[in-house]
Amino acid sequence: MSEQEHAAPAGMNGAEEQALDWLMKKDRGVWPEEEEAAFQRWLAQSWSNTVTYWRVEAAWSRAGRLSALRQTGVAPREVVKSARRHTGLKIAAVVAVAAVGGLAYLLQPAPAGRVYATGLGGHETLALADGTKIELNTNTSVRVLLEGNRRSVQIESGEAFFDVQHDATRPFTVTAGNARIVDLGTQFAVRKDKDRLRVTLVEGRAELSVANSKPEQLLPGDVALATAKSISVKRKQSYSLEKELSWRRGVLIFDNTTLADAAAQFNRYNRTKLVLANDAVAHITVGGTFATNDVSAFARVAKGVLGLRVEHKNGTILVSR
Amino acid sequence: MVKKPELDREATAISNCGAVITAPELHDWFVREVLPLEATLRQYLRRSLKDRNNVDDLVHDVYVRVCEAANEKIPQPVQPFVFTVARNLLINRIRREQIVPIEAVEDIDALNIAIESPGPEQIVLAREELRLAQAALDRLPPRARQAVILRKVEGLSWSEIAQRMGIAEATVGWHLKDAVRGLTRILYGEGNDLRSKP
Repeated sequence: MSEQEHAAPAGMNGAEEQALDWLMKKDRGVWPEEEEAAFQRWLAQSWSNTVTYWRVEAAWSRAGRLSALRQTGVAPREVVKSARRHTGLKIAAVVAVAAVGGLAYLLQPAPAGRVYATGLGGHETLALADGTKIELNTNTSVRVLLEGNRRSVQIESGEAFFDVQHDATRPFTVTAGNARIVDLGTQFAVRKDKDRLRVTLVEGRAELSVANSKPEQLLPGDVALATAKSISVKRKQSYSLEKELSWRRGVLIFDNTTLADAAAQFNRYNRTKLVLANDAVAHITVGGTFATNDVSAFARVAKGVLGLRVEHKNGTILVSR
Repeated sequence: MVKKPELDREATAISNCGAVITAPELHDWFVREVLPLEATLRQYLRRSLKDRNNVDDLVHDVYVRVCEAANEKIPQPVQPFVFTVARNLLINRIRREQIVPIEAVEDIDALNIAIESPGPEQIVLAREELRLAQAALDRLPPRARQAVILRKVEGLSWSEIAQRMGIAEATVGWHLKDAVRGLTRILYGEGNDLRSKP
């Protein structure tokens, strides 16, 4: 495509220019609440605005795949090898440009496998060649290795949901720190926090072990918490399982949830951080369903329904009495 | 016609019966199921409309109609629905503007065969996605491409990119905007030729 074509006025009527302007404002990351409100008003004005924005946003988020180049430290050798079948020259050219751009890490030796990562507020689904699907939640990085009889995924950080295509001859293992999960035909979620791991089993069976401990059998409804040394398993009702996994639908579900907990959950997804003034506020409980990225909706409820004071400043929302 | 797709999201019930479609779900559906059809949709429209701007307009109108309908109920299966909407809009436009004889749209029947079975482009593996993104990146003008690499691969902020490229932050925005405009066109509008050929 020539540069002239890029410079040509965009189709999709004038909405595309506006959609691009909004997207760029968001991308820049300076986004006060008034801006969010104006943006929502613009979106709600017409379906024309909405679909146009969704389209450009989707393209920009697909470009986010490029972050895999950073995380893997893809060796040029590997890129050229996989590219040989198709447009080898083009991709080699990208690598050359990238290297000129100062991406020295492209030359670092890569650990085995390929890393996929999401940023703050991200949510991506990977479809692996074996039919397994992995959904990555916010701020998540996983290393995937499919090779011969080996299928393994290492969770480097964050949270992921696995829908594993069972194959007895090719066991599927998920590791995180010193914990290891072996699938026995399963849907499950794994969340890695600083010093503990949380495994939620939805369907099928799986085995969880830490270090050299005896493996623990997990059944549907089990939520296992693993620290470096021990595992504890709790059975949950299906309703609370739905809450645990609501991120897959892009929502947070609160039910008698303390503001402290709710704020921590929102802060996993958003650049704008909720800050609670003191313990008295932190212990107030709240219920409801919110989009993970809509922290301002939550702030409105805190103000309007709970009657709390809400102040926006410097990328934080301070909630107080 | 104005539905509020994003406002008052906290008030939107998410019930187990699945009757209510929330904006995030509609968005995900649109991105996952509808946008990937754009290349085929354009191919179809191009047979009857010579002017690219007309094709752009009509694709846009199709999206608006499809989302209006999907907001009530997600149509299943998606492809025939989208193409029926496209055909109807095309016929209206042809009648109104007398662009081409009406017979030109009849070959939707021939096209139906092609659109019923999901092509390989429907099942895009993550690895393929990375390759497509790389190929799309490669087609951008040099400065726009450099800005995207710094933003998406290196993960720099706008101000860091401005420093690295030795330009004003506003200019970074200009390059990135140019890049997104191009990427959208390449990944959705004319993305067909980026797919791996058997």
